[in-house]
Amino acid sequence: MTDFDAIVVGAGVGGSSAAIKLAQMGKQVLLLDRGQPIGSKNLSGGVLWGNDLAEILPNWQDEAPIERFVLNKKVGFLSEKDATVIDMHFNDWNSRPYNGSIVLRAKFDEWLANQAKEAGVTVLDGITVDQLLLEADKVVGIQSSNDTVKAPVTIIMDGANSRLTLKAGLRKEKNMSESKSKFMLGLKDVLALDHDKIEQRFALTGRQGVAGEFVLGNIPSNVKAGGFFYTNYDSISIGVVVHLDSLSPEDRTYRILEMFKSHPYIERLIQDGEGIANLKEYGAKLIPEAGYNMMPKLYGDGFLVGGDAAGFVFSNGLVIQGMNYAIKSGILAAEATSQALDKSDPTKTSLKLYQKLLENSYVLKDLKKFKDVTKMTKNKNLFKVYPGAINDGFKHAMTEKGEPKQRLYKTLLQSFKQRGAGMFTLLKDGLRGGTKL
Amino acid sequence: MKKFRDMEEDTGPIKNKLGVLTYKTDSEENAHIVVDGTICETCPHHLCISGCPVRCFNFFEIDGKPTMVFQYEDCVECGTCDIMCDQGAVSWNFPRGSFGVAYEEG
Repeated sequence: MTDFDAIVVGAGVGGSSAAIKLAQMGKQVLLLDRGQPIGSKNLSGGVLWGNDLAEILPNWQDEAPIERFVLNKKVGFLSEKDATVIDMHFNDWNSRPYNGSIVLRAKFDEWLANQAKEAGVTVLDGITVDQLLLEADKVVGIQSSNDTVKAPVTIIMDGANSRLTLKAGLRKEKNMSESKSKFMLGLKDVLALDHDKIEQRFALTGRQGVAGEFVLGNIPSNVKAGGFFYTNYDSISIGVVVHLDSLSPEDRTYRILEMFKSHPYIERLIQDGEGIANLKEYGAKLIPEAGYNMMPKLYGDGFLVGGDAAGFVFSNGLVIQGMNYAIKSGILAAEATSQALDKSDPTKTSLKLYQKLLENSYVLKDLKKFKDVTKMTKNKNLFKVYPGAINDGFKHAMTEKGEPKQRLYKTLLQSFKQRGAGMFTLLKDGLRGGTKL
Repeated sequence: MKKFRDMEEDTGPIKNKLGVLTYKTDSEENAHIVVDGTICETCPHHLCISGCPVRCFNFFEIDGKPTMVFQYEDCVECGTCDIMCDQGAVSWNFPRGSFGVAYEEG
């Protein structure tokens, strides 16, 4: 006797997408989340890339609480005081379907869970799922304090810090301390800044927005970190992502965020938003970065794993995407679940379809293709040599010194050499890392 | 071993930032993270302090004895300490349903 056709644990974008898709296929679904209200435990940098949600909610870009749509993307290298930034304006990004939607998750995820409710999903907030319910090694539901709920299939979408996969032994590691090299920590401020000011500063109109991502060469320790900012409607999300395995006892993750914010280039962009009086929120979240190399068991008798819990994050040092992978994996989990239910076979034999669907989609295609990208994203030179060398090189080339000019490549090569990367290092890094991008 | 490495740090700036956050704090016996401070006394790195984004860990001298003080109340439930602690001092769980930090922006 089961209570539902399927239980989805975790109402992030992946969990809610799975629940909505299942409901749309006529299934009885229970969606559980530990936050109250839903969304209050959810945090991300801020851009939902792509249009995967359209498959289940065709008008989501009109109806969802979206702060701004990315028109302008900046990617840059920060050295101690200088910045070299590639500024991208792609005109197609200015029209529907928008390529990048800047969101604040507390609001966005609450809206998405409400869409699940409207689709017929039973949604419960304020419920922490303690563990999976097992019968003869098969997952038959969930347990939360003294309550149990049963369903043929449980979809585990409990996020990067997935306690369910850990407790059930589905991860490669027995405990979290073995996975230091597989996670980054994201820390973020939301700074109040009037929308007029944002639009003037970044030359935007209406709901146009900016996404900026940077390699941080301005941190005076061995820390490997990146920085980001996204323009919300009337605030700016600004944060850093820190490789946990690069931290030394003297480092503090929260200081790295302040160092990013006080870089002269960044300081100009967040002007009038800095200071505690303008701080709307501060938060932090783990980011799985090892992708393909950290995937837990994705399916088994009575269960599927998706989103951050499955390590479905794409990161190449300049781009980090998780939400689109979570949504896509949620939709595919729903399809596999629906077929297994129709066959009355919620075992791994039927649920294996999930893995197949993932492999045929961009989710596992991307993660597989880029599985060695950490060779570059964890390369110390990326943080400690290249940002400084790039800035020095362009600065020398662009600064008028009243002296005979040198060819640009020579100036750049000299800067790299001065920062400790000669021709041989450049070639080696280029071959080892550049081809992994 | 540097025992009191964080004692001089002014934690005011980070603690001030937490003032903007909303928490529903559970009672101490239901704290979602429990730290066994006796293990921390001999820890060679205290990387929990380095990693924790909200400075829940403080290694103080109390009555002449180095003591790890952990404040579960300020936790934003990221899970970093459970990764950084390789000494087995951190027992980590999610707070009970509806308790803990409540983001309004996210």
